[in-house]
Amino acid sequence: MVIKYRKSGITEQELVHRCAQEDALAQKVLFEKYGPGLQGICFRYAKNLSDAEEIFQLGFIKIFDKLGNFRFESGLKTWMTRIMINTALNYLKTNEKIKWESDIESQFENTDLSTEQLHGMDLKFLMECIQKLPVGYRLVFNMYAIEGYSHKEIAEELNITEGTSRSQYARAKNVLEKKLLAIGFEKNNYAGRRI
Amino acid sequence: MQDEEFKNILRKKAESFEIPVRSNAFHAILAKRQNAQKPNNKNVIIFWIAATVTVLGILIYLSSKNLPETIAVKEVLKPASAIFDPVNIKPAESGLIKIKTATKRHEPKNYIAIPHTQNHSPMLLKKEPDQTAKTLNTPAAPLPVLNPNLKDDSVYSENVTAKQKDTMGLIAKKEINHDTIESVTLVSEDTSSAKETQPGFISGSKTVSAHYSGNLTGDAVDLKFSLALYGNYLPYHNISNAANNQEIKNLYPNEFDERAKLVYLTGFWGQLHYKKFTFSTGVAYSEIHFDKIYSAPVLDSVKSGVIHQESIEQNAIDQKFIFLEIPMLVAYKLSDKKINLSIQTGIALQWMLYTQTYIFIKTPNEITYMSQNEIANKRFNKFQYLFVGSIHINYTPYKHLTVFAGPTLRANQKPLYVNEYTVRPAPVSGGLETGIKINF
Repeated sequence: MVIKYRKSGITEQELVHRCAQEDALAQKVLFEKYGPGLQGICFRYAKNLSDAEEIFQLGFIKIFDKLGNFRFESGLKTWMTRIMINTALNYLKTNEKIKWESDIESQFENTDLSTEQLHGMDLKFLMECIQKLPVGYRLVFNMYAIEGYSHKEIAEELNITEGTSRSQYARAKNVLEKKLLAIGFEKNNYAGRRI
Repeated sequence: MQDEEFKNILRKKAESFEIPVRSNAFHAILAKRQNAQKPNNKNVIIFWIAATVTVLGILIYLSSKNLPETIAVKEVLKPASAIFDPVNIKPAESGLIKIKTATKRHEPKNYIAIPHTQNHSPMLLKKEPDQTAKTLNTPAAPLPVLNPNLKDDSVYSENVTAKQKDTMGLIAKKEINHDTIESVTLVSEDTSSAKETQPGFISGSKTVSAHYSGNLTGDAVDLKFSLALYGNYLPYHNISNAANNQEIKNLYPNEFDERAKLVYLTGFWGQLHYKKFTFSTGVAYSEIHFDKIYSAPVLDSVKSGVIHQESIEQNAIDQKFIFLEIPMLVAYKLSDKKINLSIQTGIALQWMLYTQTYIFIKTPNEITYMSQNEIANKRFNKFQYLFVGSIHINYTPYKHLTVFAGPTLRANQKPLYVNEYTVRPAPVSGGLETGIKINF
């Protein structure tokens, strides 16, 4: 008997249970439902799309392997995101040389970017800018600014000091801001000219 | 713009950011998962091969090991009344037969004699020291005073050594006090041909098996590893009608039976999955009982020395044949639900290791029993093959655990004895088996 799933016709709990039972069809449904978003996360952490795809596949293997242990104590998406981030961190630690700069206290509380500018920024362009950050900056920036980790958690996760984490974030933000302002301005102008 | 505001906007944007997934990514992930399991699979395959080689080694060793030529085993069937002819009581030459007696329940129980084995298995006899005096502590009742006029044809025994052709010999020791033992031999001559009487069969099967998991050639085929414990907990019903004599049927109504009291043997099973089909093999332990005692607790209580007069209806024999079994089965799973049905069929190869016989004799006041072991010899069809079929209801509460139960049919294709008249039909039995399987 073949069970056909419609994306809207199955509860998350049932989907997880089926996946844990190695139901390939359910796994595909889960993959199609959450895959693009999770690959987007990998994209932010990896230095290029190829690495992002590699991290994404490794992460999904872990997700399928561990789904049987998922107890719905947190949201499924949150749980999967966490696995994907851990996979990305492990991948980068293994495959990239991360250069941590000294703990120079940096304070970049404010930014020259306006809210409107950031809101109007092309999403993919913004993510590409984050991806182009040096690996150390990229990791801390993603974890602190987007994932919401504290500097203490980042320090523990990456085996660095809290000060280094703060410093990495401040520098990353500064570099990103400059990029966004410079390239984004040019891009917008270029786009304006084309129109 | 403040840092908090900056982070909030970024988070909202990042949440909606998606990268389309390549069309082949899902299959790539499945393939990588299966490949990731391969290193473990190798270990399990090696383990399984080692286990198989060990079992085959044991089989080869057993097949090359012949009984001493001095033992020409011949069957002589005797009525109990003839065996226990008090006129022929003689001192025992060796006390290696186990006899226990007990009075009615609530009365003090008295035990006489001990170890098993009859004199037609000298190897076993040699290994058995005379422990009679050590074992019996309670004041023993006199050796069962059997009624010479007892015409109970329901009890038969079989044995004999080469030197005792046509002689039915039961050797027993009687203990009166701790160290004062008067040994006796109960001997009876019988030249009658009583082969038309023979008790029925009971068979049993227990399996512990292990399976192995992983992908061999693609998405559809994988080799799984799992550990399974299963047996049959309800008596099987005789289908083969081993006893063709109505009198014997009345005496031994429960001819073929299967039951599992304990799991004796660990087997390593390989399971090859292809779509909904599962091919499996491994090693199992199985028993066939030839018996009128169909209640396992009764037999167990007797073996443990607690005999209640009312628990045994009449004189009886329980003959057990012990097999090493290699099943080769194919199962078809009807669905992938948590609770599902599967149909299983196949053949099993059996190697008879030895037989074990318990003889129970009930007199008005006492129950006496003896036991003996016998290595499978030329009298028996040592190599057996049987067809097995079953329908299992499977329940998988967790990924790694399956509980199952269902009706099973086991049909031996060869009789157990080579020439025995009444046991000529091959055992066929049907019953219920249950089990638990741990999937790795």
